[in-house]
Amino acid sequence: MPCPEPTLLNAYVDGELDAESALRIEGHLASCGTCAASLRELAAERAQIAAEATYHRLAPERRAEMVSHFWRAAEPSRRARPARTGARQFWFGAASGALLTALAALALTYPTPDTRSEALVGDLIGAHVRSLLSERLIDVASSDRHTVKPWFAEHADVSPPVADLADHNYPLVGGRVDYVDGRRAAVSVYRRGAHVINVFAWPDSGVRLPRGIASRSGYNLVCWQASAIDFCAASDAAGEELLGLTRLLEPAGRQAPVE
Amino acid sequence: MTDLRTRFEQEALPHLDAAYNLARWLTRSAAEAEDIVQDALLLAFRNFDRQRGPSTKAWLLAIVRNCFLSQVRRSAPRARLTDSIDATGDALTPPALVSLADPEREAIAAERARSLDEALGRLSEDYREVLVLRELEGLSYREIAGVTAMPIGTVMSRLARARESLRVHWLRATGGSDDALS
Repeated sequence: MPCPEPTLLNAYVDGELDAESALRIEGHLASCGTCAASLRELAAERAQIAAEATYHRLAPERRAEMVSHFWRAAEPSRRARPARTGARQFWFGAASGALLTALAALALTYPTPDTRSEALVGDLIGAHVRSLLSERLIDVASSDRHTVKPWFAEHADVSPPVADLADHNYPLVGGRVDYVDGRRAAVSVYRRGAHVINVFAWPDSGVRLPRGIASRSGYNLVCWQASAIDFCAASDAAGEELLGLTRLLEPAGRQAPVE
Repeated sequence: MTDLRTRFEQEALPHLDAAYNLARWLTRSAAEAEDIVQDALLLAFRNFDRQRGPSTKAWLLAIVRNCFLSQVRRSAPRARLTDSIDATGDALTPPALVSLADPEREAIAAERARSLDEALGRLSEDYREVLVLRELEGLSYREIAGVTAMPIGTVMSRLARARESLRVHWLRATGGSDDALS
């Protein structure tokens, strides 16, 4: 085989070639030092971009402002709607206004939501955001679960199972103690790509946990319970990615609650 | 409506960082990036129930890109932001100097990161865009093709050229050291 086009080498590095083409390239690489060197260079360049290029991120408080600004613009109530708007926006606003009225009526007839549960969700989101704002994301930095778990036993009210899930692309980065529902919660910190996932664990106190994926201000929460410990994974990662982690953390046979 | 809101919160808002990152790399300005993301979120929300393909992230990024392009068109008289490697002889900014004698390894790492960012910033928009989508957002070729409205073949060749161009710019930024990438 003659030397492949640079495009093909790139596609090979990106894992975008079908098996047959990939095999042909590998056959060629085994006998061509020039192409093998180009490949190493490409792989090094990729690794370096991933490690060193800035992933621009909004500060958590700016992000929260942006989300609330967005919702105000997306679902304007009748009162908040500016005076002069196009016909389309008028109907959009009118429809959401009517809906809000309907919802308000519903809220009067249905029992109020469990306020302790809502307060708990607020606590968890607050703790998650604070961990990102402050430098104190991690108290014990370790990817070794044998270091993190005993540390929890000393510092938190529970010592939940800790797993190193690097093989599943959820590397463990450390642990922390936080205050949730009046208890010293053990927080295992995982990463998913550029996202931080905080997994809170605290003794079950009977407060109802939200079911499925709960979302507030662009952050997602997935809660579950096992062995009298309440767990909650919080992150700005997609809900599906959180569910993926909770499935790995759950003991076999127990599934994270999904609606 | 509330259900739509919930689904938007669960499926689209988690990609807010990705939307901002792309906008920030395209505009190279935090303020402009925020405006673009704000526009894109509204458009996305209003069209959320239309067909959006298998990846909500790629769909949202396509909207961000369109918002960016229409913003560029609005301010058309302004000079184009691109400075393609073929078009410019000299880089706009002087290359960063790396002091090899610096004993602080962390300081060197920070210096190099700035250089890589700088090099990425100097690429033409076309190149920067595919690199950000591939390396920072981890999109597949197919998804990049969806976001940029290009055929997959074009994505492949553009990405290959973009990486080559980045190597040239990056080597220049680090003073031409040959082992910069090893």
